[in-house]
Formats: sequence, C-alpha cells, structure tokens
Amino acid sequence: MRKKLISILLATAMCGSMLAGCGSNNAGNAVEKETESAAETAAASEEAPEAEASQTGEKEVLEFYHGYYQDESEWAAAQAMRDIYDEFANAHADGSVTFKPIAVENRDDIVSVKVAGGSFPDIVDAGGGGVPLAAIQQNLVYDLKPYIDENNLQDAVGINYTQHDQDGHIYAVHDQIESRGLWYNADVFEKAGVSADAFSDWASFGEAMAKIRELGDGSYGYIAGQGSSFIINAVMASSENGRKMLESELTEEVINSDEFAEAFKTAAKLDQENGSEHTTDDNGNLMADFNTNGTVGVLFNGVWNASGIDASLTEAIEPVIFPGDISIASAGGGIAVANGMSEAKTELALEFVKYMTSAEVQEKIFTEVQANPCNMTLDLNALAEGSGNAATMKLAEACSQVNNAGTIVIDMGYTWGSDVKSAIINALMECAVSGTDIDARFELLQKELVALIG
Amino acid sequence: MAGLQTNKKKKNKLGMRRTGFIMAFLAPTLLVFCVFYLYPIVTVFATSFCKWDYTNITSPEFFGFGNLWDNYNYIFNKYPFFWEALRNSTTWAILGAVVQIPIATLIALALSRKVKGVKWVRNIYIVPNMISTAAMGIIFLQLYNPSYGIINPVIRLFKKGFSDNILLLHGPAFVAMTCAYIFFTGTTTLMILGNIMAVPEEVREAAMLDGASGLKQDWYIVIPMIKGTLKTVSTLAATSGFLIYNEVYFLTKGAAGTYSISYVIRELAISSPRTQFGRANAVAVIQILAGMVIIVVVNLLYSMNLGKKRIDR
Repeated sequence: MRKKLISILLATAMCGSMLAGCGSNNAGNAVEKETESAAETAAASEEAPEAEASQTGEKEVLEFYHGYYQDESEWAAAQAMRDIYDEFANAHADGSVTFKPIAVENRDDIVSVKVAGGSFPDIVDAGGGGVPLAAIQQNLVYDLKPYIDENNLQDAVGINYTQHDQDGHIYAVHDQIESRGLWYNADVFEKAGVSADAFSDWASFGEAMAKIRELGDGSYGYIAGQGSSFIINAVMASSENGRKMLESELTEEVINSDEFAEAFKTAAKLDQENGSEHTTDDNGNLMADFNTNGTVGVLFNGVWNASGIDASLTEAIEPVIFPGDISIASAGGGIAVANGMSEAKTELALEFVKYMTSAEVQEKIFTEVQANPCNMTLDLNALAEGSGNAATMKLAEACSQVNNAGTIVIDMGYTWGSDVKSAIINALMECAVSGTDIDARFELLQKELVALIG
Repeated sequence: MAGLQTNKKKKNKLGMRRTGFIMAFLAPTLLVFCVFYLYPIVTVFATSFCKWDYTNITSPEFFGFGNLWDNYNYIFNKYPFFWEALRNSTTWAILGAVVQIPIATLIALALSRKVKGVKWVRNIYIVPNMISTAAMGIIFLQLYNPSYGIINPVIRLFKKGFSDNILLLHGPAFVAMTCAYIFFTGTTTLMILGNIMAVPEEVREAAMLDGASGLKQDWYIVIPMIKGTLKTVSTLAATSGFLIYNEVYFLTKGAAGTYSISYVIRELAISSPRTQFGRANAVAVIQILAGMVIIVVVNLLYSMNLGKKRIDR
C-alpha cells in the first residue's frame, strides 16, 4: 500500500513538473520570440547605428585599446600618453560618439581573440607585432591611405607612409618611431683607451670591446643576445642586396645568401668574444649594468633609452649609430581602425589618427613621452633646447642621428616575422658560449628558418 | 508461470525507471562534459586535418583525403623543433614519475612522523609550493644568472674560471630547467601525506607487535596501503611534466635545446605571424595522445608491480 502511495505521489510530482516544464516552455518560446526580435533589432541597429542612436538618444561609443596601463610612478610616459588620449576624449565629449580610451595589459591578446572571432577592436594601438596578418586578410582593418592622401598627412605620418604601405594600403599609423642605434659610455671607453672611432666598422668595434674586457674591473663590452640581433640588421644594411632582403619577406634565397651568412657570423663571433654571461634574450635583464652601474661599454637600444639613464651617468653616456652610417627605424605597430563601423565612428577614428600625428601632440610625445615622434616637420633640437631637460637633449641628439643616418633600414623582426627573429636570437645566444662551432650552428639555423617559413 | 512473467515485467519496469533516473541525474554532467571537454577535443582533432592559418582564420578548410596528413607531415618532417620538444617533454614526464614521486613520498613519510615541530616544518615546506610556476621561473632566472646568481660560484669551486651562462649550454640547460620544477612537490606531498595519515592505527600497532617498526613499517605496511594514491600522483606528475611551459618561457625560450611540446604550440599559434592554428592543433593532438599513453603506462607499471607482489606472497 505504502509503495503504491509513493508511486502515485511520484507520478503526480512528475506530471506536475512536466506541466510546469511545458508551461515554462511556452514562456520560453515567448522569451525566445522576444530574443529573436531583439536580435533582429540588434542586427538592424548594426546596419544603421546612426539612425538607432538618434532614435534612442544614446551615444555610440568608440573604444580605443592601448597598452599604456602602467602607473605614473612606474612609467611616467604611460601617464603622458593617457593624458593625450583623455584630451582628445574631452575635446569630443559633446559629439555624437563617445571616445573611450581603454588601457589594457593584454592588448595583443585582445586583438588576437577578436580577430580569431572575425572582428577587430574599434581602434587599437597595435603592439610590436603590428596589425595581425589574419585581420588584414579578413578585411577587418580600415585602409588609412586615402584619408592620409586627402588630408595631405604624408609628412605628419612620416615613415609610416612608406614602411606601412602594403600594396597601396596603409593599415596602421604609429605615432612614435622605433628608432635604434647604440649608446656608449664614454668613461668606460676612456678607461679602456678607446674612442668613438670604434664605431667606424665592426672590426674596430670588436677590438674596442676586447680592450674594455681587458680592464678587469668587472666591465664588459655590450649586452648581447636580443641586442646583438641588431648587429645582423646593421651588417645586412651595409650592402644594397642586404637592404633589399631586409625590406622583403624572408625567402629561402635570403636564408642561403652570403649577406645573411656574413651578418650572422659577424654578430656571433662578436658575441662569443663578449661571453655568454653577458647574453640575454631580454635586454631589460641586464640594462641596469649600463644605465645605472656604468659597467658596460655599449648598449644596443632605442633612442628612448635616454630617459632611463641615471642622472650620475648622463654626462658620460652618448648616442651613436651603427658602423657604416646606418640606423634602424621602424614604424612597428601603430593605430589601426576597424572596418565596417558607422560613419560617425569611422570619422572620429580618423580624426584621432590626425590628432595623434599633429604637431601639437607630436611635440608632447617628444618632450613628455620621450620618444621619437613620427611627424617629420618638427625641429627636435629646438624643442629639446626649449625643454632644458638633459634627458630630452640626449633624446634629440639620438633621434637626429637616427633620422639623418646615411642608411635607414627596418628592423628585420617586422618583415621576417617575430618567430624568425626569436630563432635567430636563440642561435646567437648559443653561439655566445665559448667553444661553440659558429659555422655548424649557422647551418642548423638555416634549416630551422627554411622550415619556419614553410 | 503467469506469476513469474508478471514478476519479470515488474522487474523490467523497475529497471527502466532506474535507468531513467540515472540518465536524468547524469544529463547535466554529460552536457557540461560534452560542451567543455568533448567539443574542444573533437575540434582540436578535426582542425588538425585542416588548413587553418592567417589566411582563413574564421573558416578552417579541410585538406581533403589526398592531403589529409599535411599538418602532421609538416610537424614531423619539417618543423625544426618538434622532435626536440617531444624528447624533452617525454623526459620531463618520466622524471616527474620517477624522481618527483619518490621525493614526495619520502618527504610525506618524514612529515607523518609524530615528532616535535613537525607541524611547523610542514607549513614551512608548503609555502614555496604556493608560488606560481611563472614567479618560480623568474626566481630561477636570477639563481642561474652568471653575473650574480649563486650557481656559477658553486660550479667554479669545481671548475675554475667557469663563467658561461648555464642556461645556454646544451645539456646543463636541460638539467637547470628540470631543477626549477622537480623539487616542488607540495601538492603531491600533501596528497600522499593525507593517505598516510589515513592508515589505521590498529594496522600499525599490529605491525609493531609483529616486530615491524620505523622504515620496515613504511616499506611493508604504509607504501602498499597507499599504492592507489601513488598511482594517481604518478599520473599527475608525469602529465604535468609533459605539459611544462612556464619554465621554458621564462628561462630559455627554447634556446640550447630546451623546447617543450606546450612551447611549440605557443610558437605556432601565437608567436608565428602566420598564426598556424591547424599545425598547432596537430601538435595538440599528439599531446593528447601522449597524455593517454602516459596514463596507460603508469597504470600498467603499477599493476605489474602489484602482480609481482601477489606472486611473492
């Protein structure tokens, strides 16, 4: 009897729950219908966002992702950049589109995830890797070239105009130029009995580094590894063929060329003499030895290093370019705009590109952010003198040397790919170990690179 | 006869009901499993046979049966770091099971002793294990630094004038990276310790009466009783050894022959400007299969051992 009662109760409960389920299913259908209509509305609003915005009175938002997230105490330049962005946002606060700068640490990841999903951030200040090829292939990125041409911004965008040109399209404009040369410590040079003539050719450079090592007071030549990859860049730039190779994609022909072999072996030999204990895949690991401790002769780094030099060493540290009157300047990543946004959003995004390359903002990028501005119309020396700041003066000197070098080439990482560059750096670092057979390691590197581009 | 048939029907009905209930309760778990486990695995497997890179990032294209193995062919025959990575990851997996587990067991046995201050030592021991492997990577980078790290001066005691960066030496770099993770056995030790503590006191007392004390008790009573846990932690240690990534990223970035399978996946999918998802997934399939092999091998080894014991008895 008890079992029957329990069975009846269970059956009633089941029927009840079934009915409730069906009821909620109906409700669910209703919700579904509502959702469908909402989705239709959303689709319609995407098609005509301006009309939607004007109907509802809501403003559209133009999201701008950038990587200047650091606290002012950690990196003052980040705050200076954020101020520049905020100024633009405030100036357009009354417009139909709200400009919203978003500082993120994982900017590149955000871009990758969006691109993998078939979308692109409204605007992004793309990092070192530049605008992903996948985004360009999917037509997700706005071509800025027509806008630059119509508004005569060629000088304002500077090197971006040529380096970022991809078959007549420009997908990014970097407000700062990654300008690279060398920094050397004149005091260390003097102690070792060498002069700036060491930068006339790579053989003299090697001899000077040997004399610094002979000092025996813990001083060493230079920070190798990541830094010495620029030796390869500079040696290749010393010949016309090499320059062409740097500007194009990496091919098997380049990998097997004499120019590449000579460049790699020059760098590897110098690195081996310099010692593996002064070799790192990230310059930052040993940077204090140069900027603060003053125990390194030479640092391969960008012009921005001016702001990192300790006050006690400002007098001693000088900028110089690579042997053969060569410098490395790359537009790198930069501001990229999404394709297919509403007219109002696109207009504001383009306005932002113009703003960032304007003389007014570019001056701030030079004096406050302490970077090499892309705008070619600025007189950097005059700006530096006006600032009265020792670091800015050094920066001006370094920028002027890089910008006026006889040969200016792009960083191979941007044309050959970051995976190729890291394979080269790994090979260089292994060659720095005493006794490593450089020829054998180079042959292995060639095989690795051929496989990587396959 | 009729009564028997009615009984059979009743039993069948009850069986059906029970199955229905079981299915109803299993359904949410199965759903979650399918969405979050099965679907990604199937996707990884399927796309490993597709052209999927920067040219078609939102729409992987099946190679077709003629070129079915293109990605695998590239990984096995062209990609320069695959075999090195597989060899390293396999070695780390073996070391995980063969070195890490005995260390963890010895420490757990030591910590299970009822001596003064053992609780304090237990807590102190666990602290470094709470540090992330990423932070650990950075710490070991300092430790191995040839200018101010503590390893080079120790080496100089035996080899005068040694100044090289050990993270750039083929062979020593692998050993240095292994040392950066293998001694951190906190979780494993805790799992083993928990099981040791669960060994009934009566069993220990009985062993004592039989004259087994100290190490003998550990060897003949405790270890056989925690064999199940040892098998589990061995599987975990071997798989985590096989999946090592952070140590490679922070210490060498693959230089001096230290690539790992996980690092190769990163290189193909993220570092490469050509965003080679298809090829990365081919490596991921190999990683999944290797994981399964590890589980089978560990199970096999433990069952073989058990069989031997039974024969001994």
